[in-house]
Amino acid sequence: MSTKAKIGRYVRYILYGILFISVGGYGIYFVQHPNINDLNRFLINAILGLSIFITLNTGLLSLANAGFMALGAYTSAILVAKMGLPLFLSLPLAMLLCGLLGLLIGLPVLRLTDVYLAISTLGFGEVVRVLIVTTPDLTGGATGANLSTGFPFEKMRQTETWMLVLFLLVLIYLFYWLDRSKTGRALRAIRQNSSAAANMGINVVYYRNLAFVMSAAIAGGAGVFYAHQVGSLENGDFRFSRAVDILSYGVLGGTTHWFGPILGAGLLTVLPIFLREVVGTSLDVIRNFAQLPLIINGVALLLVVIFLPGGLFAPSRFKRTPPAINEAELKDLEPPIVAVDSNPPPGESGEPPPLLELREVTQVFGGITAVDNISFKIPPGIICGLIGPNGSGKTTLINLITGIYRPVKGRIFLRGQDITGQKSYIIARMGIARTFQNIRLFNDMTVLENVIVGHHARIKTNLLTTWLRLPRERQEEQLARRQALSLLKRLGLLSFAYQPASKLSYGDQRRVEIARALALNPALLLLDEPAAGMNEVESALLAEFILALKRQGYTVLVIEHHIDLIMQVSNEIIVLNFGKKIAQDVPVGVQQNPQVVEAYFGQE
Amino acid sequence: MNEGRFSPRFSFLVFLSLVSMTLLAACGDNTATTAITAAGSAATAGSAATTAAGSAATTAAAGSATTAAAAGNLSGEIKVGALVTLTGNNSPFGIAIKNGYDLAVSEINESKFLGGATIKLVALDDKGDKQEGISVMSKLLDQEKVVSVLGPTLSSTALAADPLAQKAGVPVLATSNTANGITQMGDFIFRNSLPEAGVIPGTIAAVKAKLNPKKAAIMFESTNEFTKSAADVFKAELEKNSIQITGTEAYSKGDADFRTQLNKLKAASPDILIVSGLIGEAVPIVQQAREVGFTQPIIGGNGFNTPTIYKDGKEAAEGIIVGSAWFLGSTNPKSQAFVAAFKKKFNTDPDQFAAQAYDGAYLMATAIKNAGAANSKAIRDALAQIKNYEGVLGTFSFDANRDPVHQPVTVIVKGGKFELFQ
Repeated sequence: MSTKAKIGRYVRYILYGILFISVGGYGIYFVQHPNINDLNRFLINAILGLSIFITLNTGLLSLANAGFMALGAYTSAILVAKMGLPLFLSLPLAMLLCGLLGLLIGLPVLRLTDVYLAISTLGFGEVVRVLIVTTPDLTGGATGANLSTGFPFEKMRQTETWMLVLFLLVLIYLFYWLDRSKTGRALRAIRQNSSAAANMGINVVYYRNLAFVMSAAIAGGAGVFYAHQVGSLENGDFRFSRAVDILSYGVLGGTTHWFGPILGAGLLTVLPIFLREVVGTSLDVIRNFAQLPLIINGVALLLVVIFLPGGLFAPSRFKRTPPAINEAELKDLEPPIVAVDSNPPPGESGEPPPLLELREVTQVFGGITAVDNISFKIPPGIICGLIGPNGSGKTTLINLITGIYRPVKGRIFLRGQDITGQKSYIIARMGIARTFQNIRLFNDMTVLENVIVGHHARIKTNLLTTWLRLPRERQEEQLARRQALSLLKRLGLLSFAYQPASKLSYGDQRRVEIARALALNPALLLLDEPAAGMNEVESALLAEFILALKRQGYTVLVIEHHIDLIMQVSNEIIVLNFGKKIAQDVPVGVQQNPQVVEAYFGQE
Repeated sequence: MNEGRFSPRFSFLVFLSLVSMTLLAACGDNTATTAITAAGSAATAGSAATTAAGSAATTAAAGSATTAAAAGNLSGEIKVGALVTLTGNNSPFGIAIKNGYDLAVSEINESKFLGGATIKLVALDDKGDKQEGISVMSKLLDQEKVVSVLGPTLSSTALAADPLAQKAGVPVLATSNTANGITQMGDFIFRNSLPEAGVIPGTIAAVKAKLNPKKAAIMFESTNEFTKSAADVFKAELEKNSIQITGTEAYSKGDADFRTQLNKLKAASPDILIVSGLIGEAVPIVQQAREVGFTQPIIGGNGFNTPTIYKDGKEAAEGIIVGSAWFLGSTNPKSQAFVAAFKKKFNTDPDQFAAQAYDGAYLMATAIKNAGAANSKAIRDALAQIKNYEGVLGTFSFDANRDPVHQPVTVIVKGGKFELFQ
């Protein structure tokens, strides 16, 4: 255990201690002096925490929530106070509007990630505030929405604790089941590695937008309750500091489990109140030291960010005692291998088309031709090696085939079908799976879950089946699980099924990554340096593994520098040099090709 | 890392404690709300019957002969609440205000202003936040059971928190709220802080009397509701005083170059330049006006009402005329005594907010004295009756809408400080 982890452990103990004392202490005080406003504030903040959770859990650092909260608050205020709608009708309308706007903004903005996304979403929050100020007839402008601008507080102040509790419970229900569904798995996969997720057939753009829209709608809902709690609004209620507050509920509480942000909101809301009420009345020093809660919050946040990157509440997703695996029920569940297609559609000349064909594919990066006019065909059922010196364009070629790049020239065909420039997730669904040069497993998942991610496109459930708990949901999930176990069994990885992917040895991780790719049921498997970093023994085992894949009918394109391995497994080898194909031949032919010897093997 | 994580059982416990708190509160909610509603409706029901009698009594009490007798009935400690912003961006205002309250209350208690009774000021920090404001307001009302409330510091907090006091029938006296709609919240809400619209007529009248300008130019920030509406009030007052407006130019918050607008306005050769803006842009506007050759007097809105204008504006600020509710150099003896006492206690000069707070606390004490009872309703009625109170702000009265009526001052920057414009 590293020093950092040790300190993190104590930080967690201390913060839980503080939380326990504040919540417990304030709870006792609350029974004697109930102040419903404080409780409502916590509940609203908890809802805001869930709104930031759904984006953080998808790996999106969005600061738009304050803006959506403002939008929800003002929409409901206008609907209720000016148009006479009841609160329970204004809530779904405001949430719907926020969701729609979330979609509209998400489509362009979610192409950005990390700090760029944070800045642009922050910009959105400011735009909302400017909009409020510049539409005084509708919103009360800079004066605010209060009785002087047509928002009488008798009509405004309608938020009741039971509404907040009910809303929060509904959200918890939705999040609880979301986490256990195909959608939740996809969101987590995107957070851990979005490019790997795309190559597993997950439509990353769709899921990012989904998370953003849900976040917007929830923040809008919180805004509705906020508006009807405080009874008057100003654009200043939703400035930058609000966005930061909301973010800190997630960061402090935890971003991997829905309970985290509720806990974070609890700590950041209750602690200052606890200090004010319980400690403040007995200790004049603290009462006068008004900044103390801010300092405590700041220090807590800092400690958590440094020592507990997952947040305060980050329960292990891995069960201590994995469920027993009934090997008998795994029989006959192996997904059919599409690679051995007995009746392939006829090509132009009447012959069956090759599995993969590249025609004059060229890719240029800033004046450097990384892939230069390359054409080749790979027939089904073979193992094809792809070799060449470093920088000769091998990985670029794989990135072109899997849709990460779009070639500047040339076309790529899968089973005679043009896939040039298709999106990664579509190419993955059409039957091309890959592994990465640097392992990109989903480390917060078990080996089994990693493989189930590969079933994503085949699981026909959606949010509706998830939240309505339709029988199909359970059936599909169980089928996927059994099929994934069956695949692991076939590959001899069954004993790892319930282990965290990150805990496996390097060689085993490589094999799991291949298993995950195979879960897509691919026609073609692309392996990018599978033996990198392996010793002789591991590399020999891998060769066996690849040969076993071939016997099971898979078509494989493998990039490798371990020349022994390539020679051992390949039926055919393609050699690249400076982006050009210099040879395509059987292993012996390549070994004797003078051009290849000069470029790659070196002259003796 | 796994060893560091708490068991699910522990997490469940935390969750359980939160849930139980929620449930407890949900039960508490009903009782609390009903209590307030009951008290509120009782107060409203009673008000019709007692208003006539109450006002008669207070009118009598206002007479100096009976005042001492009324105060003599008071005894013990009377709790007066205060909502002040002590944390956050607006804490400088809140701290000045709290100092004003503290000074007044300690004087009131030392001088036995209320006879045998003393005021206990329960000042709570509202953090300039509405939700916190609502929480601490209900704490003052439900737990501290204060007879009346001073504050809150910010209008936005007032608009959220004051309705609770109105509902509970507890009078609130705002000493720094200038936004629209404050006293409209109900008959228990008062303020002694003049909104800008209340200051401008006096400023223009004074300028008209002393300088007799014929033509005026206006420059204002269009991105701020307060500066915009102040510009409208300026226009109306100029028209009332038959001063011709030769040009109006707008600018936005954060602008740095105002020479284009200033040159345009200068071309019509007005006798005065009126600027309705915030201090951030006020200083560069004044400097650039002098730079492009604007030698005429400049009249500033409320944004100019701060020492920053002459500290940063230097020579360019000389001759700027500003209207204000109060100013440090006032020759009013009450004001001079206040300035001296404040300086002695806090070792710094008071500002307008401290002055209004100090006067506000005295107004509240006067109302308690006149009411002759630590009764919120009676205090409200006594507050509403206050006429011609001689305080730091001058001769002060509440109008029928519980808004302040007093003569604002007009000051001019001379020799790097504000002086009375006369």
